[in-house]
Amino acid sequence: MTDSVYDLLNPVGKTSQQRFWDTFTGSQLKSWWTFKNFAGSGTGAIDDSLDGGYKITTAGNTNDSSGIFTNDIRQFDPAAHVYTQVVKMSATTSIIQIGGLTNDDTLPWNNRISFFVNTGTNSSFNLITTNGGTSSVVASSISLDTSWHKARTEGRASSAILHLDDTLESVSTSNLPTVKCQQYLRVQTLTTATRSTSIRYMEVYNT
Amino acid sequence: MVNSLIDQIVPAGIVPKQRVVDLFSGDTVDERWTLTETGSGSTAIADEINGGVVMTTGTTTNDNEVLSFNGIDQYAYDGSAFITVAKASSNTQTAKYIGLNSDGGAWGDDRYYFAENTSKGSNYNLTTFNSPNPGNVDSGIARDTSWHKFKAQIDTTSCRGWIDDVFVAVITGSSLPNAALEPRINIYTETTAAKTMNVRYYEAYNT
Repeated sequence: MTDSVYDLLNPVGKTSQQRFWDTFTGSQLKSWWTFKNFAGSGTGAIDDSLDGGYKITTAGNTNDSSGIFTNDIRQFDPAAHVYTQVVKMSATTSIIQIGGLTNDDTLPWNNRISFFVNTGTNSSFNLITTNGGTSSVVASSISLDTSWHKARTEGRASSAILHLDDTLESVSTSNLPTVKCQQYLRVQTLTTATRSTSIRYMEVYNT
Repeated sequence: MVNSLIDQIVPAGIVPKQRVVDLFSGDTVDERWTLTETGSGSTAIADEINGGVVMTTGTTTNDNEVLSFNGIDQYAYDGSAFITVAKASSNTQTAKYIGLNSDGGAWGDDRYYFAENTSKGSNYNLTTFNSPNPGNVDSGIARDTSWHKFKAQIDTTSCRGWIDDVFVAVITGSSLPNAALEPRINIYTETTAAKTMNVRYYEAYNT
């Protein structure tokens, strides 16, 4: 048994790379996050429910969108990282949920590797990679639902992969981002009703 | 496989003691830290891959930046350890100190830490202090501008130090601290040029 968190997570002789984690509990979102509304006045709060984590809710007009970012503080390598999140979405219709790594915290999301759902075009959970504004979407075999899922995206030198609930689901070799990235989660409603995403764990580290 | 983090770092039958882990990622430096500045420097999360927190001094000799717990001393002088991953932008006319100290943003009468400064020569040093008795051992590892893992552990009879998992120094005797301690991360400029230090991991715990 090791006596430090450091030695638990890093092999002897290797200096640790950048790491981030959040368990989204307590009275409020930690200040290392910046909450952003892209359209409408959405809200975000630690959810007062068992295993609730943090919940982001859009406003109620079509395409209203909100999310959490790190204010363009970008410490993660799109070609050498692992990103794990435990998330769920409030509906299987009229919603975009996306979380992972992105270069920018503003539209048009030119560079990213993310776990992605757009119910307007997809019937399953997906991996999305974007380079210079051009995206590739690789579907998983998992149909959309409102259950909690553990999604793990990995960026490698020549590919990106998605594990969903510990099963390899998607691999992308196209449109891989090459610029430094920040961690994020965003939700968008595609109808005139609010939509939410919840997250209770996020961990990112460079490999 | 165990389910909890604490069960992986504290043996069964032992009540876990105080611990802090900071990964220095996200939008801002966590609010648990207090910044004490002399001069017009800056301290912020770095917008760079693997950058951690970046601390930059002002441009007057002895300008310095200190992160501390503002006098909240929870770590034992006779049974604790710290681990940090850090680098400095320059290995000349730069003074860098990371470890545990007894008095918030000021230098306390009791402390142990890894140090580099001109007066201590061209190598990293393990240092202890129990006012008025200083202790210092040259690690034999030359100062440079690369990332290194520094670990020191203290008990009732000695303070031992490791750099990059290699044992480098031990101090015994009257210089071992004798009061409760708190984290300290500190950089000085020894000239009229700004000096910079990055830290991407800090952990302290009682043993």
